[in-house]
Amino acid sequence: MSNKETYLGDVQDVNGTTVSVSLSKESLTGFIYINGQGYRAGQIGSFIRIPIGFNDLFGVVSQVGASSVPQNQIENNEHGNRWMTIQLIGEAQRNDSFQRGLSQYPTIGDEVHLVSEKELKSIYGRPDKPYFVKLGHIANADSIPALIDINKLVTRHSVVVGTTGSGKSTTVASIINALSNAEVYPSSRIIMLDIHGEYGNALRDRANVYKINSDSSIKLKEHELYVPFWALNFDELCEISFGDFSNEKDKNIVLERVQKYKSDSLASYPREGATRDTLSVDSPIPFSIHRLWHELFIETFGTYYKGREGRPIDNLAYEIDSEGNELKGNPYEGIPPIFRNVVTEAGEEKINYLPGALNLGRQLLLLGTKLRIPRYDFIFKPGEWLPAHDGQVTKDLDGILKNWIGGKSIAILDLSGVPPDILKTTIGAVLRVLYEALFWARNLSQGGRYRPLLVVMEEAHIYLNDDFDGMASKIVQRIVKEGRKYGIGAMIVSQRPSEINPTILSQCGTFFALRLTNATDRSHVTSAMADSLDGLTNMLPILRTGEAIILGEAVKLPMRTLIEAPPKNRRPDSQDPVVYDEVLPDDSQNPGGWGIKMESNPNYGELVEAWRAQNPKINKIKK
Amino acid sequence: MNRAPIVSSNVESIGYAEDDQTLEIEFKNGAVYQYFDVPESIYLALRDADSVGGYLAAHIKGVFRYSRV
Repeated sequence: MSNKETYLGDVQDVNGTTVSVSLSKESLTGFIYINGQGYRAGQIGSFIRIPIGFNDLFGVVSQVGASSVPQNQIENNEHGNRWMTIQLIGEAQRNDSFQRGLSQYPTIGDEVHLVSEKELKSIYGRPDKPYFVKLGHIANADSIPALIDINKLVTRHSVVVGTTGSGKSTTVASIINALSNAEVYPSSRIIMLDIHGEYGNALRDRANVYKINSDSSIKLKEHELYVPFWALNFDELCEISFGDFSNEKDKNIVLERVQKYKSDSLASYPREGATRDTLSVDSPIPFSIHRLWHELFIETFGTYYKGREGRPIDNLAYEIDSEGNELKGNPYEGIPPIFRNVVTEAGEEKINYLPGALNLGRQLLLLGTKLRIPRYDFIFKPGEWLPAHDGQVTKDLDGILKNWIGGKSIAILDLSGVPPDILKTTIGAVLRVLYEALFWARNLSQGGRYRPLLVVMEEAHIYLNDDFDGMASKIVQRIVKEGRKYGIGAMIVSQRPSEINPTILSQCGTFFALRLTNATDRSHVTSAMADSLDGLTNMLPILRTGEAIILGEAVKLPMRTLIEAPPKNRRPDSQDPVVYDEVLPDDSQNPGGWGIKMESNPNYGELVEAWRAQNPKINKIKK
Repeated sequence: MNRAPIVSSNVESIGYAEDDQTLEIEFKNGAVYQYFDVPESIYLALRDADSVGGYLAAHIKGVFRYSRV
């Protein structure tokens, strides 16, 4: 071989993909010059090459020194501690591109070589192909771009993990920024579940932001977030509106009633694709939940005049207000009817409970509360998607879908205003609506197969942390298991991977692992990774901020990457606050911190205003 | 609010609304803040200061309350 200068040592032991190598005396200095560039031999995480005939095998150094000495070699210590353990990861035909996986193994005595930057480039780099996006460059090799294959990234799902402050949000922003570049990807389609409202500002010009209590001013142009209750399936609807049922019988009564409402609605307003025969209680057909609630309320709590002619339901005993009006309540405002008390004394008109009264008191009171509280309006009074009493709606579901996945490249669903008790279910419902739509539309030009969707799930540990029960976990499991076929890809972002359902993690093909210090989190990630690369994953606690180990399907080789932060105006609002600015006061670009004296007359009224409005922007701010 | 560019090491542009005395400042890093109830004289002095960053640090930061926009 002509490349004697790259020679490191010889293969001494092969055990599966683990190879032990004895280092040669020449490489002992540890410093090797190739083409005028210096390389340190035997750096953990660096790559090596084993030429075999016309093929090159590639591996990563995972261990160096005494503990790498094979057990049976410890006695006759011919090579001292100059040993190295290597994990094989792939091979390349001479002068051809790199492939993951091995077709053959090295044998004893094969030479092991250092991989120079030039060779690395030919493995990693094909920057001219538009299906690769650049996220930064390889750590320790500034000239090599870190390229991600977006085909694999989207369809095989991905995970971004890292301790808080390790650069997660920046990494996500960087990926999204690259993917939403309209010149390269005019039809890219990304939806972000933004739990804290971090990304709206950063991606404003490329994204539609949907938010509860949106600010539709010309500058911000936010849109109102609606998740119409009638688009939910029955389980989701129950969870959001009624809560638990004490027994199956009660649940079935509600189920049948919903089915009847949907069926009546369909009869009055036929909808393409839905027929009486195919209609199920899960079908997304508008119906009036307000009327349903009102009706069930009467049947649960109602009293009637026993002595009068006709059916009990026609003789309801409403309480009368001071002006003589019957207190029938108002379904749309969630105001329940008020009934007179039961009267059984002789001589007075008898009032009795309705025969066969329903046992849904708790559920209906809960739903009534939700119909009255404005926080839930995004579900129960969804603007133009609010059905009239007979199921008529101004806009159908296509309007919602067009908003979310038919507009700009990115749609940000800012969920910061969703009440915490229904957050998981809301997320589950949103994802299920998207999944079903793209799944059934798989043959259409706007369906998932021809215009795939990437779903970015921020802070996933908040809603994917349960064992299979939550609505969000269920649908995300379905997405990561089957979404590939129908063009729905997940990107799961979390600082606490150990709290995420392991089934979900294990289905993700690509890992962006930033600094992770917690041992439990680390072992969770390591066990979910496809590659057996101890050497690389051991580096997780010592990564610098903004440095990630990317491994899995979307990259040819695992790579340690310095993620390039997106331009300043495209960064998420998640930077660390400045406690004491490092630059001089005159040059500081920070108006606060502990080092600057505070205003003499602080206004805590505005603090409470922001809290009450659940909106960080107070009214005083000039548009 | 409209802001006018200004020559400074840390401030990109400033703007002022007389009607409710709001001063808007954009730093070089892109962050925009509004200082509330700032007299017009302060705004004019800031605009004409030799060192905008210095004037800001001495007479505005720590004196007026603000909000990020």
